[in-house]
Amino acid sequence: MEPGQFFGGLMDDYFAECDEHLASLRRLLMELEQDGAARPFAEERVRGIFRALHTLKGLSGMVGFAESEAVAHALEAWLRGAAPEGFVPPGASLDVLFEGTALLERCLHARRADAAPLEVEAFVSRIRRAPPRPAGVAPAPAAGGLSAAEALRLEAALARGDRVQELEFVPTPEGVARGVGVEAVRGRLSERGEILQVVPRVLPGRGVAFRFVVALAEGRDLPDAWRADGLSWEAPRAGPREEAAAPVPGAAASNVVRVGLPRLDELLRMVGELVISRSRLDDLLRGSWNGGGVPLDALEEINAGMERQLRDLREGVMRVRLVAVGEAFERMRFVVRDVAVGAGKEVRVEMRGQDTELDKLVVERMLEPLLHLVRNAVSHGIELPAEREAAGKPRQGRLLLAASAAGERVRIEVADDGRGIDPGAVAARARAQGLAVADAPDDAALLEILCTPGFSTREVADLASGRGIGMDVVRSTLRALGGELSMASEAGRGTRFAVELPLTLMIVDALLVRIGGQTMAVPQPALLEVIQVEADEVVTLENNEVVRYRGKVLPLLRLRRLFALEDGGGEGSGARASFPVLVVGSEAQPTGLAVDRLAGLREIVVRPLADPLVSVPGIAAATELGDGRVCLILDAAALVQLGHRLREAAAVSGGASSSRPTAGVA
Amino acid sequence: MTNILVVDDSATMRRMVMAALRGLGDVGFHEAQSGLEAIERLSVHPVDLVLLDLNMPDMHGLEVLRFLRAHRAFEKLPVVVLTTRGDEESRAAALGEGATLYLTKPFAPGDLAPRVRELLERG
Repeated sequence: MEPGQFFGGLMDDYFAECDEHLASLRRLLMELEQDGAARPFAEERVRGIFRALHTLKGLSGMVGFAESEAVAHALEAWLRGAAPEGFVPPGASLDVLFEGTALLERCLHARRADAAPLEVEAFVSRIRRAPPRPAGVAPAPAAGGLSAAEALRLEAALARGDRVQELEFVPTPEGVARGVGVEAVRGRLSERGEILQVVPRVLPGRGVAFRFVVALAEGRDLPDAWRADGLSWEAPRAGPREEAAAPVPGAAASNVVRVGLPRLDELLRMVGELVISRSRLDDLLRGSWNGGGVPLDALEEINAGMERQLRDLREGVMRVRLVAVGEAFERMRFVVRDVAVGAGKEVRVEMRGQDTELDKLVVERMLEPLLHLVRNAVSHGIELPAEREAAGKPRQGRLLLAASAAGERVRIEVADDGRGIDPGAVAARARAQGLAVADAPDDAALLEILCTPGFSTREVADLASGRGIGMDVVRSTLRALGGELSMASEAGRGTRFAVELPLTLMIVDALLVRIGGQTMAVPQPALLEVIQVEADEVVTLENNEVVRYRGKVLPLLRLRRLFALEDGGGEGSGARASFPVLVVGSEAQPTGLAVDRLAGLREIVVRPLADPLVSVPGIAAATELGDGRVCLILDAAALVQLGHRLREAAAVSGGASSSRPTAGVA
Repeated sequence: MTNILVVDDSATMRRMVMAALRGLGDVGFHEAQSGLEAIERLSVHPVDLVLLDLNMPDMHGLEVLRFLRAHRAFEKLPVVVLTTRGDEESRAAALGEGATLYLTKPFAPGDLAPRVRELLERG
């Protein structure tokens, strides 16, 4: 069997894990390049890079992705030649590794998209060197002594004033079954301080014990409860202060999200509340069988409670989709380096608010637009070092990536301290292109000009920026996500772009329909079927319109009439020969929603309408179509219920109309 | 039932190894993501054979091997080193530390099980 087939079920795991290793590679390379000085740390980083490459090579080989395997192998071999003693000599260029990592990313991307595997032979041959001596990637000494890196960390900890604590952990079968194993203990200790060393030793029989040396900050104590988990220690040795754990490399663009246990526990708690509500319901019903009926107000109360609990749960689950933007920022930093090197610029990247969380889907969709802004900033915004010096600025340009959360929105900024936007020049160019422009356009007007389709990118085509998406696409992509773009710029000082995005996002496939001149959307999951009905098939039974459908009777709800929408410019009227009907509701009791026309399938971003003043039965949300039009989203379930009520009312009152809600967008 | 311990810091690789060994029949798996965890698992579970990756953070596979072979309870335990390093020096080093078998990754899915079975039958 082909390796690819044998391991088919593990492909999600493969891609997710490769993403992690690529993120590690990017991070380690950036760290090595920026402060390669501290020797023992540089060695650790090189070892980390080797490990990441080994794993990428091994996994790729297992699934039969020969090109990724070849690149990883080539990079490994190159690194062994470049770092024979296990560290990279100061001043050595790591460009090959950066290039190779980017190539690996592209290889994986192609595989994910089911495209043809990339050609990598050119890269592999180019970086091939004379066969290197196999490097001593030597294991650190076992018990007793500290390695060079560990010694440095100990010094740093003592200098900070941390106290150094030794503990011993003896694992037991019960403990391990409960989840208290050496890795769990390591995690716990990392949260409280910095682990300097872990050493195993044998105990009589088959037993082992692990000796941990930890640097703990002031006020960080070890809970006595841990002694019940197999941990033992004596009173600490002296000194205060603290610091935290190595961050887990986040999974980048993939279909998988990592969820922290606390979040899951919270969700479980909410589910628990629902279970309780339901069992109360159960009690009430059981009570009613003993005669006496079910107390309505108790039912109302439970119903209201469950509605609230479901809403909380829904929100909680949506929050599971949140990931920190830091990962995306790291990828942007990588791109900055590429572009800067290519353009001969020196750029320092600063980040703020990397822990700010955002819906994973939003992060993935806005990565390209943000990368465009970043590339622009480096290619056009930041000046060449000589130019900067002449202007009295530091040689190194500064690019700030900042994220902050405010309520239900997240704000992301890309700011540079470059030459800023020259309003006069932009205005002149705009006028030359025939655009109407004020004499002294302000930042908002300048942004409008820049976002005009076809405005500047064609003229300033260069390999880095001219990637085919212009500012207009940046803005429309952001808008489609429910976000907004703004800009502030000062000539000579720099430019800042700010993006505001919603915290969570729901995207569904929807069927667009025309009703009385309005376009509305119906989420596909709500549709059972779409049928075409001839006007003369419609029969009136007890003042309700129905059609024959699959051997049953399908009640019709004419949405144009329901929403009291006027015919928009002769688009058709009740006198139409045939019209589409959306079959919704349950299979047992479906309802047909009659519309004027079908207008295509679209993926839409759902923006719930929560304002009580605009609550209309049958409309639950809205979306913005790509061209800027706002479109209401029909709530099929609510319409079905509305239909029932209207039918009953009609049957009772013998045809006289009951109240009709109005809807539509003016 | 045969108990096999799979040691590798890559979760995906562990799953691949287990998938490749499922054909062995009545076999149960324990997993470890690090050298420390491998040592721990060996001390709390009965294990008949270990598949050991070498390149792990914090404790290299060779260190794990060295530690095990120094411990009477584990000196005869069959250990299959499974690594991406195919060079002779690494092979010699691993066998020198007491590895029972030295295999390289990637391996064809059908190749692993027979070699492990052979080792188990021998023991």
